[in-house]
Amino acid sequence: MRRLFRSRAWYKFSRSWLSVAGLATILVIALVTVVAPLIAPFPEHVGIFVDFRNTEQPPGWLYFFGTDDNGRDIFTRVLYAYRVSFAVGLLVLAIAVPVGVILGLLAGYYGGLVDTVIMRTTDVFLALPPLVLAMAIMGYLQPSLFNIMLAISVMWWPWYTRLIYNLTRSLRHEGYVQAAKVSGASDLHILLKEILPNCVPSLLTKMAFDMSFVILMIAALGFVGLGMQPPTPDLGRMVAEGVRFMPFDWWMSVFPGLAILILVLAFNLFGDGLRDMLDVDV
Amino acid sequence: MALLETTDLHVRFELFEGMSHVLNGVNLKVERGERVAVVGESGCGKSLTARAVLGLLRHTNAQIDGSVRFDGSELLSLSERGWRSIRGRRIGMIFQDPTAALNPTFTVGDQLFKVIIRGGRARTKRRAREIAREALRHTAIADPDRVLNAYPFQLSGGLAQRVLITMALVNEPELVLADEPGSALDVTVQEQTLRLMRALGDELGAAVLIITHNLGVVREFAQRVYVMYAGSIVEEADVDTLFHAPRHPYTRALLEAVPRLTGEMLPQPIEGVVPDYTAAPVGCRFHPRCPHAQPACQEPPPVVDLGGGHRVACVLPEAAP
Amino acid sequence: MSTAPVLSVRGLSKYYRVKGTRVDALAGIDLDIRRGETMAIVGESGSGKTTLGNLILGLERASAGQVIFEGAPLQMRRSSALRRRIQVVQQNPFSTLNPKRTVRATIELPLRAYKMVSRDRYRARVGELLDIVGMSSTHMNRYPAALSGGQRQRVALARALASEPEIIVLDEPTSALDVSVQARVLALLVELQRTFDLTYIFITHDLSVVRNIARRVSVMYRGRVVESGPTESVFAAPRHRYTSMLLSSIPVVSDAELAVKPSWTWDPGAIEGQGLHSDGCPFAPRCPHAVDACWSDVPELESLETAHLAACHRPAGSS
Repeated sequence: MRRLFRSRAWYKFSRSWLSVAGLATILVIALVTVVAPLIAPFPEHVGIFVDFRNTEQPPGWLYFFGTDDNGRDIFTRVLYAYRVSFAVGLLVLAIAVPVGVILGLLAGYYGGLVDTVIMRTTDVFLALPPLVLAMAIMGYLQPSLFNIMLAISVMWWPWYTRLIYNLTRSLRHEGYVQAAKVSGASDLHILLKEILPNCVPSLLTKMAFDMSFVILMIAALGFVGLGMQPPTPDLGRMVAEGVRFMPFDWWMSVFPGLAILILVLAFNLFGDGLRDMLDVDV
Repeated sequence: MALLETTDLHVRFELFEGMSHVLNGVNLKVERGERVAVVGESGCGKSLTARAVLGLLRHTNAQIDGSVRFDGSELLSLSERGWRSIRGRRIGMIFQDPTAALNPTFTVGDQLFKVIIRGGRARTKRRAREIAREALRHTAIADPDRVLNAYPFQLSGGLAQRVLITMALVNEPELVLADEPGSALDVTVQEQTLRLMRALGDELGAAVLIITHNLGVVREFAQRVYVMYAGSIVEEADVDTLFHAPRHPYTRALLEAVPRLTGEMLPQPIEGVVPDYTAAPVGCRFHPRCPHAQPACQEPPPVVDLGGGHRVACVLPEAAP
Repeated sequence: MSTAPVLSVRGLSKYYRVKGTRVDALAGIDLDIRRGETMAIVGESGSGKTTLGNLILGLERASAGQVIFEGAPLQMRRSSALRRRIQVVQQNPFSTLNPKRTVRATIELPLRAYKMVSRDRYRARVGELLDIVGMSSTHMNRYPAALSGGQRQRVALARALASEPEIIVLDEPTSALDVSVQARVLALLVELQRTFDLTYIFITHDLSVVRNIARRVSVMYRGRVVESGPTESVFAAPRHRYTSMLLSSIPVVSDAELAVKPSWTWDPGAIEGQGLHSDGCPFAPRCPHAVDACWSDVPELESLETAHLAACHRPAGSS
């Protein structure tokens, strides 16, 4: 840790306090989601729970973010919704990134027929508006954590294929790739040891930005009712349901909305910082 | 009064590694109509000097001390507005890579007309076109209209270079600052660039300050030379003196490192490396690499005037060659 | 030194298709390189000199013609036993080493790939190679970012030497370096050639360097060899007008050099002539001596005296 804070990379990153704020926010939220069961004031409010005496309570000392029309603590539900957002975001990247990277490397390095087949396939996916595609898939499948993840991943890998494809196309002409060939390196070595490591900075930066997009997309799916199904808390759905009570019971939409905003903003700021630190274009 | 004069120019940058003290008191002068070269290896601060003179270090984290006077007025304290009346009008600029210096999205003509109109030489585009045509013909471009209607990528390196020279000179500046002109181009084109710059400069009576790493270019182009090492001027002299009787050990070493067309001997390397500016050697910055170094070199070297404008910053200006 | 060439190039050509038209990067060239010599290939951008290097190294496929190594034709896809024997040092010290790999990983690659030494000897061998190029083993775990331009070129040289090649293609190995560093790398190259009996194909645009390092030189222009011969002879009495032009445009630092430069009357249109097309001599559009024949017939490389060849209809010093 000490070494990190003394490194040149950290120095560059920390030039912008906004990026540091973004990173700090992400870390705090990540920590909070992990320990949510310990710190949530009303863990039982996450599931099916009704408390008619405390419906639509405004924010206060007992209910930080107020309560909803079933008397459930919104703060607790936001904490648990964050868990879902984080988990889905990470899992989407865990599927989309490896698939996208492998296909991008192959298409970029070998060219020819491999290139045509892979890249035209990505074109098909990229031609469809992502939200529409995800909604179509979700409309067809049962809304569940796994299916949401699958639907978003299906739309996400082509972006990584394209990023890695473009990087590979330019990197394969680099002197060190040519030199590695002359040094007798196998294609596998060249792809994994020479080209891929030089894609990592762009990859990391894109992943940071994409976390915010994925979170936003989950929220959007939730908003139109295709996200996590009740009673599991979902930020998008909470905003949508709270809208009925606007403007009097404003907290029901505003706090989940702010929660989305903060997380998305944090990942964006962090992405900006990474981009400056790693000196890449995405 | 000199046309351009920098006095005790210091530039520092705050870096992760600490304070990087790059320019360490640069004093140089360019008289009207004179061709002056600043020569040194990469990282010696020569381009930084040019950028300081052109006010291109404003809005960066550079800390600048000292003075840069142009025609008697101080440039370092000039406002952005003041700069606009100088850059491109009274001081022209020519950069290393001509294709990178032109905006690829506009035609050559549009870019040239803008320079002419901004320089106050024409109000209308039509008048600007006449001036541009005349100026291009002057650089031996046979068909100026074809060039004016072209986009930069349609020009060869040689043509692009001539367009840039035209751009730098069309407003008849008093000083042209050329940073490694043509060194990104083939040697035959570079030669042409230098010839053209010399001819046009002479014709307009413009002074030229050329920044280069190539001693051959210095000898063929300049009248007077400043040799720079690690952010300081180590020797200044007229070209003949510098090439026939160099005094600073660095100048001598640099000359011996140049491969000769006559091939009588392999060029001689200079031992050691250019110092890290965050921990530059105290005193003479060359002393760790100098074959004649002695204890006195730990102090800042005196600038010894050898007469005839030949000055050398060395405790041993008479050291045996 | 044996007289049979170790590497020959016969009618080697490379065309590209650019928007339907054929562009000849290399238009049928012949070369012979003898064991233990330094053969310089000189030319400006667009001369095809780097393409020639890539074809010899098997990084590109020839459109026509052959590279013959020790009497047998050499293809782009070649056995690793053959690939090992021709290595490369490239121009740009910033791209020749992978920024994400340590010096050790870089030099170990050919040791592993060509099974040069047993696995437990890798580290020791990398140390030896670094020592050979004048660096210390302490550089082993550094990344290229921590090295100077000159040091990077030394590492590239160590990587080339790791596979114990016979031929090294040096593609502008010093042109991005400062003169003081260039001098050191050149001295190292000369020393290594002597120690390991290496054959160098030295590709460069810098005639001053050629004069100091090469025994023989071939001057290329637009994909053809226009002049070829012993360095001293080519420099003292260039036959092709392009060679004269090239020599005359080098900025020099001493009176002695000025005296050996050929005089050349500059035609300002000569640069624009680069855009013109000639069916004959590729240099005709820029040549002040061009006659009709130069525009219509491609001149053959002809011997004017022993071993000194020029492809010119009106060579200097002939009439």
